[in-house]
This record gives sequence, C-alpha cells and structure tokens, in this order.
Amino acid sequence: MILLRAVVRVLAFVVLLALALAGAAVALFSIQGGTTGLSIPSLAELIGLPELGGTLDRFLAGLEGSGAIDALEALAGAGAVLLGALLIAGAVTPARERLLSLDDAEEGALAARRRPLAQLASALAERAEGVTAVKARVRPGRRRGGRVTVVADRTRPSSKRDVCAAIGSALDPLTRPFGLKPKIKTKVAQRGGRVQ
Amino acid sequence: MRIAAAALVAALGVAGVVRGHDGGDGRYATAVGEEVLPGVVVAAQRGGRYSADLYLTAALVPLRPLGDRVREAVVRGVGAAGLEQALGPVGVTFLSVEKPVDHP
Repeated sequence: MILLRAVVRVLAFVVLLALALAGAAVALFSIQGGTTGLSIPSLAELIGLPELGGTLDRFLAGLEGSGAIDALEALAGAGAVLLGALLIAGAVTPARERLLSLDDAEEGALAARRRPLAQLASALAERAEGVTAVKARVRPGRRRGGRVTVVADRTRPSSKRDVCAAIGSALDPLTRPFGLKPKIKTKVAQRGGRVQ
Repeated sequence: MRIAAAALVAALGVAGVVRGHDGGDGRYATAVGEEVLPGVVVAAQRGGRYSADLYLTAALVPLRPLGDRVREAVVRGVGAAGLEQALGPVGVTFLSVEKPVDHP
C-alpha cells in the first residue's frame, strides 16, 4: 500500500507537470494565428494529432464492430481497469501508522511513533561529551525493533571514536527497551555550531 | 463512554504525560455526547470487555517506564470508577514528545 501511495503521488505530480507544460505550450502557440508556423493547427500537425485521431477512430470502430473481441484489446482493457482500481485504492486508503512496538502483551500494547523516538534520540545524544548538534532518524524493523541513525556534529578536539562511544552510551535508555540498533555518524562541527 | 473518560483522566494524571493526542486528524479521539476526548479510543472486545488505547504526547522522559506507569494508572482509574470488570487490554502509544522550553 505504501508503494501504491508513492506511485499515485509520483503519477499525480507527472500529470500535473504535463498539464502545466501543455497549458504553457498552448498559450505560446496560440499567440500566433494562421495555420502555419507557430500556431495551434501546426502544433497539432507537429505532434501527429490528426493521424492519432484517425488511428483512434479506427480502433474504436473495430471495438464497436460485431466481430469477436481481440484478446489483446480485452487484456489491455482489463489491465486499465485494474490499474485504475489500484490507483484509486492507493489514493483513498489511509496510510498505516508505522509504529515501533515496545511491548505487545495480552494486557495491552506499548508503542511509539518514529518522530518522538527520534526526538528522544536527539535529546539523549546531545548530552554526550563533545557533541554540538544532532540529527536523528528512526526506522522501524519489519517485525520488531529497528534502527536509529544519529548524525552528530562534534567539537574539533574531540575524537570520533570517543564521541561515537559517548553517543552510544547516551542512547542506551532508548535503544535497549525499543530494540533499536544504533548507527552513529559524526563530523567536525562547522563554525557557528553550539558550543558545549 | 465512561471508560474512555476515566482512562484519559487517569493517563493525564501521570507525571510525564503532557496531553492526549488525536493523531492530527481526529482518528484517535472518542466523542462522549458533544464532548470529544482526544487521545483515547475504546473498542468492544470479546466477553463484554472494552479495550482502551491511549495516544499521548509525553514530556522528554524515558518512554518505557512512562508507558508502564500510564497503564497502571489507567487500570487504577477505571477501577476507581467501578468499571474494572469491563476493562480489557490497555494500549499506550506515544505519538509525540514535547521538549521543555529551555531545551537547547
């Protein structure tokens, strides 16, 4: 379902972009009158609209005819219906929340969204010695646990290894209960970073 | 839904819980008459019981112990309202955390 939603979003963007470009092209070509040069008739000619119209007419006439329906046409039609149904499903189905489960006991579940966990990870990592700024991201695993990625700015004199170890320890109250695997990256802070 | 009200009141009484969270679009809320309780959803279960799911904004505190405290408080609170026989599983989900004002 996530894939479908992504496809719908990309498709919507592409269609809107195509519409915008088509509108701009029509506006531009409409400035000129006549049937030659930069004009709507010549644009239609350029992109083969008359031929396309003729082809479509023949195709529709063939479909409406009394003969047996071509298997390829039937398959294409069924495919188009299926694609449309899937796109509609992707558009209208509410997104499922991706939660990190702490506990799924019979007496009730304990869970959290990714964002608060990322905020907690940032807050914890910011306490580590040598750290000036932190960005954290949490990705839930397929079944349980997940990964917390921390990108930290450190002061110039501090060593990468020490800061990574300090952040790892600082994250422990979060990573252990939630079964999160920490991934820690550090870089020397640019000027203007918070001084610890 | 008396269970929803009792559960939410109990949860909000736990130190570290800031408020109920309706999910942003109202999906996690229960209407009691004209009043809407954000952050609690009660659903009928087998055997005449009702599950209570709390969706909360928490302070910047360890969430695991907080979740346990919320569950205990909800069980106590619903019990104090005389509804302990009707209470089924109690779920707790943290949807956001709120940093203190002086947090860097």
